[in-house]
Amino acid sequence: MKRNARVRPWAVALLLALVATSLTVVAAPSWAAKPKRGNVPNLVVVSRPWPKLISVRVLIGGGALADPPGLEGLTALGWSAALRGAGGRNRQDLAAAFDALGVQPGVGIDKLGTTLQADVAVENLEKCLELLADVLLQPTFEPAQVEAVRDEMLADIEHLQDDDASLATDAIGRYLYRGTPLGRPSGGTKASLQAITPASLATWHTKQIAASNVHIGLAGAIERPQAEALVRKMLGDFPAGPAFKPPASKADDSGRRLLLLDKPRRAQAQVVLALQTVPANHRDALPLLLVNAVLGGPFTSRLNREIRELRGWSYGAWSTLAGAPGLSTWALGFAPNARDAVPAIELAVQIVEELRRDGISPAELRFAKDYLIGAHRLGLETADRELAERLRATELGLADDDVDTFEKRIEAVDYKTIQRVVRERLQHDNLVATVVGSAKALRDKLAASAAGFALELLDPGGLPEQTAQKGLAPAQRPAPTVLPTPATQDDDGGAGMEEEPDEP
Amino acid sequence: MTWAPAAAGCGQRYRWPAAGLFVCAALIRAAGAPAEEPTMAVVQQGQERAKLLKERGVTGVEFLDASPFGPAGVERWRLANGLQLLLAPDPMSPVVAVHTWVKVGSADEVAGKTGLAHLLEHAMFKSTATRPAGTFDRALEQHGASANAATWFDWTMYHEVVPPSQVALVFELEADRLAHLDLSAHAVRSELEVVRNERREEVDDDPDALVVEALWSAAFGKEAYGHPVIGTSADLAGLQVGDVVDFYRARYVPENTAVVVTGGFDPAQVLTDAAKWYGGLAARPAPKRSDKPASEKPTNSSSLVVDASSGRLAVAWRTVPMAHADHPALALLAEVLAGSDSSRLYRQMVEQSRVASSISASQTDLRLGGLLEIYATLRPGKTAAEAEALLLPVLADLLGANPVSQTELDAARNRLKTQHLRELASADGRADVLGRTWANGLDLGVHQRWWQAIDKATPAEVQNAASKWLKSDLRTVLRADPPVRTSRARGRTTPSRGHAGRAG
Repeated sequence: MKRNARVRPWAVALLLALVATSLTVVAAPSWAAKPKRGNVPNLVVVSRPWPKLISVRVLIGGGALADPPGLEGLTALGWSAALRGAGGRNRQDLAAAFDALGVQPGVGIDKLGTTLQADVAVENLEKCLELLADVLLQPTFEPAQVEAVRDEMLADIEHLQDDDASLATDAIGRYLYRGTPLGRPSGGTKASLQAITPASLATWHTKQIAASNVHIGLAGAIERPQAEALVRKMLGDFPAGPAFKPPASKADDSGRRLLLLDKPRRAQAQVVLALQTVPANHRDALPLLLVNAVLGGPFTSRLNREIRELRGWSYGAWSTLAGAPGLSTWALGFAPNARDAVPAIELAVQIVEELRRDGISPAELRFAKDYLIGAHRLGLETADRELAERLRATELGLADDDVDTFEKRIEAVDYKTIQRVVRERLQHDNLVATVVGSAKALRDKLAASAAGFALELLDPGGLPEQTAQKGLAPAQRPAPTVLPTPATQDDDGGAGMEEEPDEP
Repeated sequence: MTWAPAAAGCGQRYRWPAAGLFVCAALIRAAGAPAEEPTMAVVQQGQERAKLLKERGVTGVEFLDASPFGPAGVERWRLANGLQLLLAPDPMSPVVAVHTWVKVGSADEVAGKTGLAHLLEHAMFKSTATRPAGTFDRALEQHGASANAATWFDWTMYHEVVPPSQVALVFELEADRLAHLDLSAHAVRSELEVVRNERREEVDDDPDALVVEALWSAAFGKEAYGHPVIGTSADLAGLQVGDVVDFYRARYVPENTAVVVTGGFDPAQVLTDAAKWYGGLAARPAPKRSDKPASEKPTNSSSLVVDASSGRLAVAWRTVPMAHADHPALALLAEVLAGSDSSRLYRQMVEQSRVASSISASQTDLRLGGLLEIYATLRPGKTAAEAEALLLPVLADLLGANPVSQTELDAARNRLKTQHLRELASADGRADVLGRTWANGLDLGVHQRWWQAIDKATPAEVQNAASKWLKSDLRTVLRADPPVRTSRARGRTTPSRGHAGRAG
C-alpha cells in the first residue's frame, strides 16, 4: 500500500496540461510554400552503458494549445491516429511491425507539447526509428482509423467521470483558466471531436512537423556520434519551419471562487486549490519552488503534516508547481471524507494565508534547498529520467543548461528573496478551487464556510469552462440548485457503495 | 528535480497492490535477468568478500550464495540473528536503493482482522523510543530522498532511494523501527483514520478497484487471498491497538526480514554497516506460515453494480506460482491475449466489436498460487454480458481452431524482454525484483531459469498451458454494470453459487 499520496502522476500530467500560454496565430507560415525537406530536428542524447535498452522520446511543440478553437482534441486525435497507419502500412501492419520489435509506442499530450515514446532493445533501434519516422512524417490518417480514435476519445470523456481525482484536476484547469485558451479541454468535447475533418488534420500535421518544432531524444546504451548518425539517416527528412511559440496569457483571477461537481454517491471529496503565478523562466520561479517544498512538496511539508499526520483527514495532502513560458499554476490538493472536507479546506487556506503572512524560517529554507538538490540528483539516476528532465526544460523554454545548473541556482537563492516572493506571489485572495463530491453533503457547509469562496455548482457532465465568469459570493447567491445526472435522478436509487455514515 | 516537481516525484507514488493490475504486471516482468555472468564467478566473488570481511574483523555475517543478476550479480548473506541481506552492486549507479522486505502480508491475517498488515505498515512511519514522529522522513528528505512502503498478500516492503553516502543512515533508521517502534494508541488511531480515508478514496469511490476486489473475492472466497489487502471497512473499524502491537511483535523478527541493497555501493562497507546496525536485533523465531496451496473452488460468476460511466468485465483463472513449470508459458499467454494492439482480445473487443474501450491481461504471482486476470473497460451503453459473449469465444478459438502462432509468441517474448529491461534500469526496480523473489520463498536462480524458459518457449508449450489452466472450473467471471435508472440496488455482489463476494 502506498502511504503517501501527495504526488500524483495524473495530477502532474493534467496540471501540466492546464498550464501553458494561449494559442498563437502564426503569421505567414513558411511551410505554406512547400518548404524544402531534409532537415534534422534537434537531438538530445543521454548515455548509460546498461541495460541494453534505448528510450526514444520525440517532443513535438504545440500540444493541445495547437488545437484551433472549436477543434479541441485535434492534436490528441491526430497523433493517436498517426500511430494507426503510416508509410504504406495499415493499422494491422504497423502494429505488427512495432510488435515484432517488442515496442509498444505511446503518445502523451499536454498543453505545450506532444511526446511520442517507445522503449526498444538496442539491436532493434534502427528499425524502430524507421517506423517512428513514418508515423511522424507519413501518417495516412485512414478514415476508418480516424473514426475509431474519435470514438475512443468520446468514450474517454465519459470514463473521466469514473476517476474523481482526475476529474477534479481536469476541472481546476478548465475553471481557473476559463475564457482563455488554457481553459479549453485537451481531450476535446463531443462537439469539437465531431468537427475534426481530414482537411483540418492535414493542415495541423503540416505545422506540427516543422523541423524546428521537433526534438528527438535518445536515452540509454548509445553514444552521441552513433545517435547522430542514426537520426540523420532515419529522421533527417523534416520540412523547415518554425517552432510553436505560445504567447503568455492570463485569466481573470480576482476573488476566491469554488466549483462543486456533484457526485452524489461518493464518500470522499476530491479537493484541488489553485493559483496562477509566474512562469518557469521567471526570476521568482526557483524561490517559488523552494516555498513549495515547505508548503506541500515532501511528506513532512506543512500541508501533509497538518491535514494527514496530525488530523488523519486525508490519505495525502500535496502541492505542486507546473510551469510554462507564460505563467504557471500552483496547486494543492487532498481527499477528505465529506464530513471533514470543509474543515480541511479552511485549514489549507489558513496554512496558505499564514505562509504568506509569516513566510518561511531560515531553517526551512535550508531544508528546502537540501531536499530539492538531493531529489534533483536522485532524479537523474536513469537515462530516461534525465532525458525527460532535459526535454521538459526544452518544452518550457528554459535555458539549455537548466538541468546542469539547477543545484547552483537553488543554492544561490537568499532568504530575503524568499520572503519577498512569498508576499508577492502567494495571492491567496485569488484562490480557485474545485471539489468533486456529494453536493448534498457539502454545498451548505461550503456556502457557509469561513474560507469565503464564491460557490458554483455543476453536474459531472457539465463544462467547468462554461460556468459564470465569476462565482457568486455566498451571501449574494440564491439557494444552490444541483443539476442531476440521468443516472442519479433518484436519490434513493441507483447504485454505488454504501455511504459512509456520519460519525460522532 | 527541476521546475516541475512532477518528474522526480511521480515514481514515488504507490498504487496499493490490491489494485492488481499494477503489481501483477510488475511481477511478471520482474521475473529475471539475462545470464550475463557465469554463476561460478559471482559465487567466487562473494566468497572472496567473506574472506575480506574476516580479515577486517567483521563478524556475524555469513555468505550464503550468489547468482547472475543485473550488471554485476547478486549475493545473499545472513546475519547471526537470521536477517538476510541481498546485495546487487552496480558501480556505475549514482544512487542506492535500500528495501526492507518482511514475510508477512494480508494472507497472514485472521478473519475479522483484515487490514492489519497494511495498518502496521503505516504505523511503522510513526515514532520510535528515541525518534519522535516525523524525524524518520525528515532525516531522509534532507538528502532529497523519500520513504514509502507497500503491502501485498504475501509480503510487506519498505523502500528508500538515497545517495551512496547515506546507506548507513537508512540502516540506522530501519533497524531502529524494526526493534523500537512506539505503537501508542494515538499513533495507531491516527493512522487508522488515514487508512480508512485511503480505502474510501482508493477503493470505495473507484469503480475499477471495486471490480478487482470483487473478482479476487470471488476467485479465492474465504481463503487467504480472498479478502482485500487494505481490509474491509467493517474490519478496519474494529481493529484495536493491541492487534497491531501483537502483529508487530510476532511478525517483525529478523528471521522474517531481508534487506535488499542495489546500486552504487561498496559491498564490504555495506556488510560492515549492516552488521553494526542490524546485528543487534534480537533473534526470535518466526511464526510458521501456511504452505497449503489455495484449494477452494472459485465462484464461477458474480455480478456487481458500480457507480460508473460504463460497465466492466473481469475474468480470472486460478493458476500457479512463479516457480511452477507452467508459469513462463502463462505469462506469455497473457501477452498473447491482450499485451498489445495486435493481440487477440484487443482486436476483437476494442477494434472490431467496439464493445470495450480498453483491455488488459496479466498473470499475477502469489506465494501459494497465481491468478491470470483479464479486465475490460466497456464502452458506455455496452453491458458486461455482451462483452462476455464476445470474449469467451476468443478464448475458445485459441484453445481450438486457432492456436498460438510463432509470430504471436515472438512478439509476446520481445515485449516481455523490453519491459523487463525497463524495470532493471533503476536500482529501485532491481531491488523490487529481488525482494519479491525472496519474500515468495524462491531461490535467486529462479530468474535465470524463468528467462531461459521464456527464451525457449514454443507455441505448443503456451498452448498446453492454456489448455491446462483456462478451464471453466478454475474460472471466475465478474460482470459489473452501472445501475439502471430505477434500480434500488446498492453495492451488492451477487454470486451465482458458493460464498458471497464483497464490494467493500
